[in-house]
Amino acid sequence: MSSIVKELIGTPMVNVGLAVKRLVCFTFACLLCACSEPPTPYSWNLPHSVPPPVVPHDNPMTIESVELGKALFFDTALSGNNTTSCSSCHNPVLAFAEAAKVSVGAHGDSLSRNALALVNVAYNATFTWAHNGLATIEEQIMIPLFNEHPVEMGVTGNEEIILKRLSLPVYQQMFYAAYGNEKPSMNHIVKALANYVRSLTSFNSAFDKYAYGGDDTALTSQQVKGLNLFFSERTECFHCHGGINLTQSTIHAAQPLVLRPFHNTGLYNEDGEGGYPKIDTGLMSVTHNPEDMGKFRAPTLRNIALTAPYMHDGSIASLEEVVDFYARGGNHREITNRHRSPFIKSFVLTDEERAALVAFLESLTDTEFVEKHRKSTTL
Amino acid sequence: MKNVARFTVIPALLFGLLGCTELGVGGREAGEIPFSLTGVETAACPMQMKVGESKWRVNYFGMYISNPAIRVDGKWHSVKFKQTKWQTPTTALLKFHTLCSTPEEGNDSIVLDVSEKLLKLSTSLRFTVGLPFNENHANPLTQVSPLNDSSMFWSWQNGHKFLRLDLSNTADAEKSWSYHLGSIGCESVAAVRSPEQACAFTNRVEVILPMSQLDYDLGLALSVPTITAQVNLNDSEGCMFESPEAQPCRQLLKNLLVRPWLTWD
Repeated sequence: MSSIVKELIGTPMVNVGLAVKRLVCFTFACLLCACSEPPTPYSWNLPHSVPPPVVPHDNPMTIESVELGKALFFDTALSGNNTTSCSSCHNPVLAFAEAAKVSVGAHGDSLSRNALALVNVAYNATFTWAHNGLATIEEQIMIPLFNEHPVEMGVTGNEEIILKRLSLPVYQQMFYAAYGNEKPSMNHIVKALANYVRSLTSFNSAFDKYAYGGDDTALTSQQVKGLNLFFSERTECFHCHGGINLTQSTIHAAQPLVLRPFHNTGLYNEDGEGGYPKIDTGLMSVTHNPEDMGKFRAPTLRNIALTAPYMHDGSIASLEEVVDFYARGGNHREITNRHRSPFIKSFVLTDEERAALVAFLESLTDTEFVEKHRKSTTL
Repeated sequence: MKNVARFTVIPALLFGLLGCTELGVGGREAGEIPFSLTGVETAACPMQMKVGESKWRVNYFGMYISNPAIRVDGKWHSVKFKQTKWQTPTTALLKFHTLCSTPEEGNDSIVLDVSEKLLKLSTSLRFTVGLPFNENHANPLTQVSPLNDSSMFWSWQNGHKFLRLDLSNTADAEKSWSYHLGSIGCESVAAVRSPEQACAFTNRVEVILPMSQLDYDLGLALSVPTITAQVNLNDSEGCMFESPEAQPCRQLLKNLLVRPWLTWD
């Protein structure tokens, strides 16, 4: 006899009727617990040498929450007017980026930024193009969902109707499997979306096979030449795009040191003093610190060949033009710009070297990742 | 009675807790050696350094040190760093530029895994600025902290930056200056392949600091202007991965070898 049952009925002083009632309740509770299967822990399936990402304690990765997040990600029901899904701007075929210069929200509002690829976001030290105050993907996801200026998904004010749309039996089952409650809630929607985005890991490019797999045949000699240029002090690419995720702004379970750099690439100089267009001043729009003018997080270069156009506003169309931009030391090089990163220096490349650098960037495409998620578009 | 308990139990608990953290003189952990920067306005954020008439902003200043040893009774004894996110048993990373804005992202002390008693017997401290060959060129993905700090890493071929100092002139917006010291002339087929033998210029610098047996709780003073002494910061963009024979690299390396850039405080 368990100690709980002993406690319930073993004491002569206890009223027998009350004890029986308690026992029935206890048994019923046990049965309920037995019916509720705990969610299945998610397996990252990462290459041997890649450390796992950091996961918030209050939202563990489970197969059920990732599946729920995936269904929500592709469902227009999540937007206020039922027209737009996360995948409208984050297309799996394009490594979850978008071909348009800037995204357009559910109400037709133009955003100021190009949709970022969702590749290894789990390894991001910071989120969005420029924000130092968002600690988790869960916090970031609130922006596209609830933003009102401009409207992105348009959830604000439409929570009730959205939750009603998501009360279909199929969703009830998924919410219950993921979070033990069949009733949809914005909290569980955000958590599930975060876990799906967190699950989008990509470490199987030709570069990975060459660099971390030790396969000397994985890259062409032209790509190796481009790789060596990329990691040289001559081009300085790796100063901002180094590390496991080809961006210094990275964190993982084996890296407790915090690296959260932001850089001004000299893309704009509106006022001769390094000012960016008022529509988007980068990190300064968050911190209001003039020193942060035009500073943005260097995005990952993984799958970069699929994510054109480039830069935070999609203002550069091709990888070749991006290389040319950095080779000339940013735009308006002739005008003094105290905000431009010292690592944006002009360099001279031969046509052959330029092609090699682009070929290396193309070797960062993980076709397995793209193929795996291409199927998601048919949901 | 309650008050008596409050005045006796709580202080006793506090003393007990302090006892657990092994704090030594001045609240310092046993074996801890703090570094303080000199010649730099650490009250400013970002920190600033005056060189001649011009002021320079310190955008990045970090340094790896390794293989610590102490001299006791005329003999060198290898000692270990305490393992933390800033230290492996044989290597440590100091990072100063972030201390003013985000202190948790910086580190200005080393902690040796030695007792206060042993430190009192020591007559010299020795360590290397830089990383040993194996740690320097290993797969960055499988390295432990602080060896996986990508901002201090070049590539498998060239390894880590042993010292990184990035400055920008506060008055002349276009003027920046960087010193990235590390091994160079490392031969391998690609940037992501480790060299099989030592690089042509290893560029590791050994530091020996004599100490009196009364000085066991001292800190180290690190003079940033001494590191850049005799170098006109306006004359070049600095020294990044160039031959130590080229200027200003030659002078910068000489400064680390012969000038008193690191002294007991």
